Amino acid sequence: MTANTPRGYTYPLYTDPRDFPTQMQDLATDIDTDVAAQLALEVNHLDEPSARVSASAALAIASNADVTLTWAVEEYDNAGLFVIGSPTLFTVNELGLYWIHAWAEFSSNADSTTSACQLRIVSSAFGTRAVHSPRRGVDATPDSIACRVHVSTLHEITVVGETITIVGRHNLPVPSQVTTRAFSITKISEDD
Amino acid sequence: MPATTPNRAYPYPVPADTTDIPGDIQRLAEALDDDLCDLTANIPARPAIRIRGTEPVVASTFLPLNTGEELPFDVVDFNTGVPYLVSVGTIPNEGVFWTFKPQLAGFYQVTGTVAIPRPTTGTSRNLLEVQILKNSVAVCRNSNHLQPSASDGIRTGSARVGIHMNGTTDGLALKFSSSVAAGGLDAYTVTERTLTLVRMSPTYP
Repeated sequence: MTANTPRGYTYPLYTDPRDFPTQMQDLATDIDTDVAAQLALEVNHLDEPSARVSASAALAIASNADVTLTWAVEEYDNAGLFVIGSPTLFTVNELGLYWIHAWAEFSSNADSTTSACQLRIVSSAFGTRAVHSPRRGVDATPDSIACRVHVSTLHEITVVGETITIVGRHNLPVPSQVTTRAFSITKISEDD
Repeated sequence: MPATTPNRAYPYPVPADTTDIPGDIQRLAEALDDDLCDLTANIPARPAIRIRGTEPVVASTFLPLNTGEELPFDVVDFNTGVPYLVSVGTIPNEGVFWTFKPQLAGFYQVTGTVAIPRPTTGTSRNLLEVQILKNSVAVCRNSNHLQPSASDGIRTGSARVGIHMNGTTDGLALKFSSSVAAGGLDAYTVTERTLTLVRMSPTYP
């Protein structure tokens, strides 16, 4: 009747039959398996779930209205985070801390009102409250300059299947549209 | 003749061996010691690098949006886990480079920063934009539509992106542009700029 250390290494008890070769083999094999698993874990940490998508087709946004951005091109996805058929959602199935970046170009317009454009990172775990929502001002003049909004944050995925979306909004008095845009996400750490 | 474990080749005796308990334990202990020391010393670090440009870049002509300048770099602040490759730019200035090509393929987190002091004369800028370029195409743009006042000091723009690089020909560059509401833009200087890369995954699905 052998015993085991907390890591699972097998060792004989005084009451066990004397079988030194077998007992040494058990111990060596247990350590071997454990060390190999730990090494694989260390190496796997260098390969984190990551994805990047983009789109360029114009997406109309009315004044003071939320529009969830759509994505058309899956440039990179090593973890099945994005599905083309669900063009607005990233579904994250591995808990942990993630770095999220997105940017979008709000088109220039003929209005001279000083206004703001906004991107919001929205998580299904947060409801409608944004994870992060910076704003960018739009100059009164010249009106030929587009506004490129960039958003970046660390976010902890705490629920398996949590979804992340990007919402665009502006308060220009005239309709605007989002054109070139991209979204990327990568895990940087395990869940606490 | 001792046998060895399948993964790490740790020795253990077989029944046919001459009984040598102290010797067998010593050989296992020494094999473990050597292996763990070797593993500890050789676990690969996550590849990461930061390059920095320190020489001021003076722009003396109007640089409208979309036609800003790609910025040169001349210093490598740190470089872990991977040798780097840089492409020398068009200006024959030894040690200065415009395009950075990581030598390992993978998905990278990239952060770019650009600092510009407030011009001492002339019209204030109403737009500052930082772009990260992959193979000369913008993969992230961040514009600040602000009007620095006379009391503003150095302003720093930044952009971040996740992007796959093929490890051979793909190159990254950092671009900055500025504009004013009307008329020309007086001379201004871009000072420190950085480009930081961290490889998050080596695979291409």
